[in-house]
Amino acid sequence: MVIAEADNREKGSLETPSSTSLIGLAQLGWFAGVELLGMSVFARLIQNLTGTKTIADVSVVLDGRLPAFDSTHVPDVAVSAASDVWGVAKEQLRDQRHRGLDTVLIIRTGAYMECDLDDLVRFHCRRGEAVTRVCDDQGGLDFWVVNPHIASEGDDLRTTLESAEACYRVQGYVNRLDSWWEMRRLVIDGLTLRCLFWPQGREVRPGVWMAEGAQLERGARIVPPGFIGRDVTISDQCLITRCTAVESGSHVDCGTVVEDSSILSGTYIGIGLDLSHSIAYGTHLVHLNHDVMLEITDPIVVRQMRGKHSRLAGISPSWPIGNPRKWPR
Amino acid sequence: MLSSGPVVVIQVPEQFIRRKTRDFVQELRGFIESNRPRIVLDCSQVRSIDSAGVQALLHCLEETLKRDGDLKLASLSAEAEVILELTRVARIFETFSTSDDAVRSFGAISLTDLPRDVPSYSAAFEALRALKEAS
Repeated sequence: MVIAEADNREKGSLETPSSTSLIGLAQLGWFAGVELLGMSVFARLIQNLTGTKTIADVSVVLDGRLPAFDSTHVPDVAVSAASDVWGVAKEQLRDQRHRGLDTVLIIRTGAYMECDLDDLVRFHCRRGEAVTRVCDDQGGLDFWVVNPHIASEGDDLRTTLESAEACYRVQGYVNRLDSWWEMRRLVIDGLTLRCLFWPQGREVRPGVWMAEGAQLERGARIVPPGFIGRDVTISDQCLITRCTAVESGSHVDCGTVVEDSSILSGTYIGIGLDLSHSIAYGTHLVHLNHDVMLEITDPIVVRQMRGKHSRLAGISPSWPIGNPRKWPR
Repeated sequence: MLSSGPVVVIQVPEQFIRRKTRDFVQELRGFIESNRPRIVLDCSQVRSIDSAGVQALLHCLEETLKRDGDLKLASLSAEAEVILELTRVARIFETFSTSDDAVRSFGAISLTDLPRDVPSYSAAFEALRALKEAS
């Protein structure tokens, strides 16, 4: 069971965060829905779960504040949107108990982690506790293995999960994805193969991945490692360097240099610019070295592109489904 | 002999965008058109700057250099710094962390550097002027 819940950690700074923009998602504390290296953490999680044979059933409980999730590409996944995600999750757990399931994974999307599922379930069975929580060096992660009978307990499901005593220490890569810096780190780690967050494209030469429909005009150069997403255009005389990822439907115009940056889905970057150490999304620019986020209303410099990629891929009908891979080990 | 006027420190508006740049350049024109203008633009208040703002800065620098003067930037806000770096303009300007540093770089003394007990020479100048007129 995957729970996609908004965190609202920055709600104090804005009364009504918009769930339709990246900035809105950041305010909702949900970086997992942002397309990174061709696919969001959330979409990868669903893909991995549906591709794992030992998992009988995958369901998603989506926070009503988050963008609608179209599951037509994954018909086996039951999606329910609710304002009280934990209440609905408890209902589903009760239902799973009646259906005779003996072990349920509950994952609240947020962090990206690489965990050996078989080992985790073996650990849970060996300990014999009702709830086992996955932990890393920094503490508990929002990933539990539970016996469905806990649904009959009177406590709130979240409280029951938070009070789990059994802790399974994850051995693989973990990124809590709770800031712009962590989001960027995940991209760099994916490009430098430090984790299994692989770019969703073809490796056209060592360290350079290009997805379907990506266009590299004459004179444009990519210094590895780098990722060029679906339907991206890199114009003449551009230089894409130092772990840069250009996500689907974006356009980097003539002569621009992009260094150590992520250009998120559907973003136009103007002519002759120097973009470095940044995350660009539509009219917003987050500069990681200067620790500043600014809105650039000048469409000559940056802008949101119109069309199918202007949505956040990975949580829209355009979210990419590739060949399901095994759960990363 | 060439002579220089005082160093002028001017605050750049918070929203340095298209509709504000014309007024700003107009305001600056008087200083720019003086002999060997020495101008410091304090960018500490800048929160937003667009391509017209960047163009205005470049125009002011160009006009100042034409008159054998110089225009320097000081106290760049993070927002201004990001935009100037993004548009590759940062390298063209000489920038300083404070306006006082920028003023000093012209070889001038900042008002804040003047000791409080400095003697006033204005009376002596008045007397000299009177003497000149009399002669």
